[in-house]
Amino acid sequence: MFTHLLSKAIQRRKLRIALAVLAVVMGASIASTLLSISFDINDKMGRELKSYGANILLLPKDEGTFINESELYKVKTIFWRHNILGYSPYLSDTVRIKDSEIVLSGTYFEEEIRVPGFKKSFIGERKAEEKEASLRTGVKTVAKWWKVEGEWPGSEEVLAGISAAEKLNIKQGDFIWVDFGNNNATYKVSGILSTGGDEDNQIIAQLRDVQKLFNRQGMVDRVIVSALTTPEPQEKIDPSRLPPEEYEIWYCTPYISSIMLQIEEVIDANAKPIRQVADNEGKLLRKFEGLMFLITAIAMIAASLGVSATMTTTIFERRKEIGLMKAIGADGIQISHLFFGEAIIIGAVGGTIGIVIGSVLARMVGLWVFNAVVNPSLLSVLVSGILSIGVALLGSLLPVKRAVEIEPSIILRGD
Amino acid sequence: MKSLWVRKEKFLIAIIAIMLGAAMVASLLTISLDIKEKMGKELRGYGANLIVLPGESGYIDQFKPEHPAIIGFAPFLYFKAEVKAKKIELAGTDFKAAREMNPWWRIEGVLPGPQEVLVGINVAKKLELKTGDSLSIQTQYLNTGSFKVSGVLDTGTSDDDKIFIDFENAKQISGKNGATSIQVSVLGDIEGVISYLEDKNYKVKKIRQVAENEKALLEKTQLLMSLVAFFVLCAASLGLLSTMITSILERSREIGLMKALGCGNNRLAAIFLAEAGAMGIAGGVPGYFIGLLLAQFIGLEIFDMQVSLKPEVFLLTIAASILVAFAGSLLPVRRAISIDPAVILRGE
Repeated sequence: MFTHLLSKAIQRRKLRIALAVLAVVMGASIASTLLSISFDINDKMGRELKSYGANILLLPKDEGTFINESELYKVKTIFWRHNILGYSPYLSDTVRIKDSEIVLSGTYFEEEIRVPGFKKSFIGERKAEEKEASLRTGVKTVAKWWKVEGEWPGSEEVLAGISAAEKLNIKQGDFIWVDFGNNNATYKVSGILSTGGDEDNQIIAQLRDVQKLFNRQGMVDRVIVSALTTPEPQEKIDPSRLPPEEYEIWYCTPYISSIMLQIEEVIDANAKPIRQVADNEGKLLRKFEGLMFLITAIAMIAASLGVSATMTTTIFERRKEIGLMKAIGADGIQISHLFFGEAIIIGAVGGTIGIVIGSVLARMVGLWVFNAVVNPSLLSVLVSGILSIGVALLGSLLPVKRAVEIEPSIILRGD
Repeated sequence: MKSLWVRKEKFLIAIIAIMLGAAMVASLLTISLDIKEKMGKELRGYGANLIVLPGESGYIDQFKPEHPAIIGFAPFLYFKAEVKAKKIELAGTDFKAAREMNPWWRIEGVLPGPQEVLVGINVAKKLELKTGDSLSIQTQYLNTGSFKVSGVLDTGTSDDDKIFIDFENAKQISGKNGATSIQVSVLGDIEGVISYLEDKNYKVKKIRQVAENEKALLEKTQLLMSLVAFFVLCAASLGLLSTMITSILERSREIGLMKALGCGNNRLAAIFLAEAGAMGIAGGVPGYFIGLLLAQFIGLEIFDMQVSLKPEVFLLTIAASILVAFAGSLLPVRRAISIDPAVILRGE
């Protein structure tokens, strides 16, 4: 009987029910779009901010020692290996070119690194197994703002920083003679580099060539690492003082400090944050996240109130019907069950459609703004779904209660 | 107008719905119109985006730019000198300006005064210096007295390899009469500032790491906010539409009665549309102000500053409220008008 009544009530009033569903669809799609974006903004904006370059600097433990180049692949074997987007090693020293002293740096421009497969267990018995993989890395990945006029250098070729080129009076295609102690070499200038930073005063070559000239095969004196991180909490954490469980949580969160520790565990070097990048990154990410969540909260509250308003209106106009039902012997509980049943159906149907629309919209925003897919998280689906049904119920609560309390004869008499 | 009073309760619901929609739209529009400026200010935390170098003269002794987009600058005088028998790069600067320009500088100790220096962490390690030590600086010109180390600087950049010293001291020691480079922080029209400075015969370089990314990032943020505002606008309008339609549908009887009493179709439509207009304004105006409050709240909470008000947002919000209220009444009123009054008045 109940289901029969319910389905009849819906069939008879298609247009009005459709309108109520529409209101819920709108609310649910706003909620799920904004929630999906909010949950993903940290990752997406984090990737955008990575265009500011590396945020971690590795230096040798002691003055005058070096980092082993062959160890560097290990940054891709740490717990947060997937958050390491790239790295670039450097080896620099002062050389003589045309009787001027100038800094020559060797680095990777674009290098294919082989990361062997491994089986490993991290803190708290977390096991990891990776197949052999490869990684393309170097300044083209880590320092995308480098502007080269001419060609990127191959073997025995160099980039001349724009100020260095001016000072030495060299241009693209020239050959330069480089002296370092008793060693020397001739390089061809394949392009002029402008960055606006220190590199403008340097000559940049392939790491291998520079190691050969300096006679420091396999050695580097500086590595910059680009890692995706989560903003650190406001209060300072001293990991060595944390109890084991909290330490595990800290270790397994991609804070810059925990990633630095994990790098130090596998590579014999000191890790330091590059503060210009690392500090701002955390600050900006917190702002973006806060902004999105506030907007989401405001939109969700407004949408919920809007849906409630529609539900209230829908039921107000059915007071006569309620009066009639009471007059022929239905009690308050039966009537409220009927209306709440209706509200749940409206909420569920509207919510489902809204969540689907919301996921599509979130995807569109992701592709459009970040060129990456924003996947709806389970949490955003759950919250929007529960919210739709809850708000539809809440919106019917007040008018149904009022309608049920009123004497049927008063309602039936007319307006 | 009488009908508004008689049916207060139902109108109130519709007006509240309009108000909420208007509040959301107003707050999001206000924020998205302002986001580029606000985020731009945040991104200035990355430090200078331009470097000004002397043209022909060799150094810059007077730098007084008057361009509204320049929000800060710090002069630097770089030179090499011997400290503890090692060749070290020194930089003379105005510490207050430099600190403001590079908010990420982490200093253990305090900013130096005259006859004091700030030592980069790598230099400190190399020369075994710590806060409180003193050192002497030697150049080809002179051997100066001792300087006190007031702090150690940790940045993770090449600044860690330098010793920073008061600008006036640097002029005396190096024998140069002005800055060898000036860091400039520009908010907004960076190309305009470049040509402004180049007209003054300076050589200007963009710090590509900062300048290039800033533009791309701001455009992305703006696009994101506009899209979000647009979606919310669409959704709010549609939700409002359904509320309006519902509230008028239930008045079919009233329309039938009015028709039976001899009210013309045009007059009927005029009455309802006027009602819708009144509701649009009644909901839209308070909605706009609620929206402003929300926008200010977000601005203060996230960016620690007020969001600037844009008059066009007010017009847009009110226009949207009225338009949606109109659109929401048009459909059901037309339907009600076209039906024979007898059919409606008979009952359900």
